[in-house]
Amino acid sequence: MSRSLDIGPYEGRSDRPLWLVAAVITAILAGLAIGSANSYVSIVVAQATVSFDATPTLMFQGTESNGSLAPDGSLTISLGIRVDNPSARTLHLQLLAFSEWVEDGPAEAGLNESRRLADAHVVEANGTRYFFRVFGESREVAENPVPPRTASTYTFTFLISRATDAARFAALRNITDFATSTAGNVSALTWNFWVRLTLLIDGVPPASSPTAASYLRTIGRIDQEVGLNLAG
Amino acid sequence: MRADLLSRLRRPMRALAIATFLGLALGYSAFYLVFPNVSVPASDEASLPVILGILLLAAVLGGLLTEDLRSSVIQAFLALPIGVVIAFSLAISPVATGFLEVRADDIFSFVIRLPIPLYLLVIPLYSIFGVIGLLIRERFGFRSSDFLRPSGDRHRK
Repeated sequence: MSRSLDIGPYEGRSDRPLWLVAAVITAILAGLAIGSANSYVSIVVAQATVSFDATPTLMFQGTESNGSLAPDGSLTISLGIRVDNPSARTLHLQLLAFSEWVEDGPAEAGLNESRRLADAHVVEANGTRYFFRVFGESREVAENPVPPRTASTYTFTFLISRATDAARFAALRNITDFATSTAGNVSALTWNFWVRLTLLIDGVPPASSPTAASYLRTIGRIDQEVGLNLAG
Repeated sequence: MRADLLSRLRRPMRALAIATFLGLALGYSAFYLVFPNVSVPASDEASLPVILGILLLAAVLGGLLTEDLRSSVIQAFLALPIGVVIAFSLAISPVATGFLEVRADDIFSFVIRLPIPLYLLVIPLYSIFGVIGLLIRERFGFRSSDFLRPSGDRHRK
């Protein structure tokens, strides 16, 4: 059967141009394959090496002479975030979740039963500590991207006052009043924060196929968190 | 003696070279099918026309370079394991950096299980379009280049 299709291999025009075409296509396919491997490697490296650190700075405005919050005062938290990107991919900040708790002295002293029930509990060897959530926010962010092999810093501001959230602000005032009356100043308060940051790796569209491996649907996203999430 | 050996090896080496070319097309296509968003070009979903285009182009070109039908069929079958090895190599490439987060046996499963339709398709596709390429080669009367001929036959007309 193959005899009928055997061509006279040594007659006619040379097939050298065909081999050249094959060489060019091989080079293109090899380039695509190597490029794909490089892309995959850089994404996996980004997933494994990118990290971030968060530093909240508290600023009380409008305080009484003893340091407690005045009714027209406010608390501003300046959240500094440093994203360390040792990978070869550009990263885009997508989502920021931030929570800040303060130790609820009045609840622990049994002076506020409703807050005591609603507060986050931390059970320790020498008793249970109660934390009131002052901030609990999640927002989409559109900051400048993090370039490859650099570290970028960002600052986000969170404010609480009577105008923004009267109920929480009243609780915060109660807690600062208690702190100043028992410890002498608000700096004695114990704070706890938790930050979750979602970063998108540039150039990685999320896989939409239902047959795609599950990790391919999330491989373009980096989710990290720092701090202790008392709500969890 | 050496010339005789080279002459004997010429045909299998040629078939192996073409099978490797076909396997590269299959391996890249399989990787692109399973990992479309990390491939080059990246997309949210693999494009079937792109995959078929690559495979058809490779099949016809492979046929154009093939000297006979038997080699064409052997190449089609040989391209399959070569393609699987290439796709697997691409899928485990992050191992080189030490950062592979997915288990290697999971990746093996992705590379074998998910592209099964492609693997089932590729042997008849390579065979049929390889024959079409072979017929085109015969129609235009291509002959093997000097560097692919046995040395004793280079001056035959």
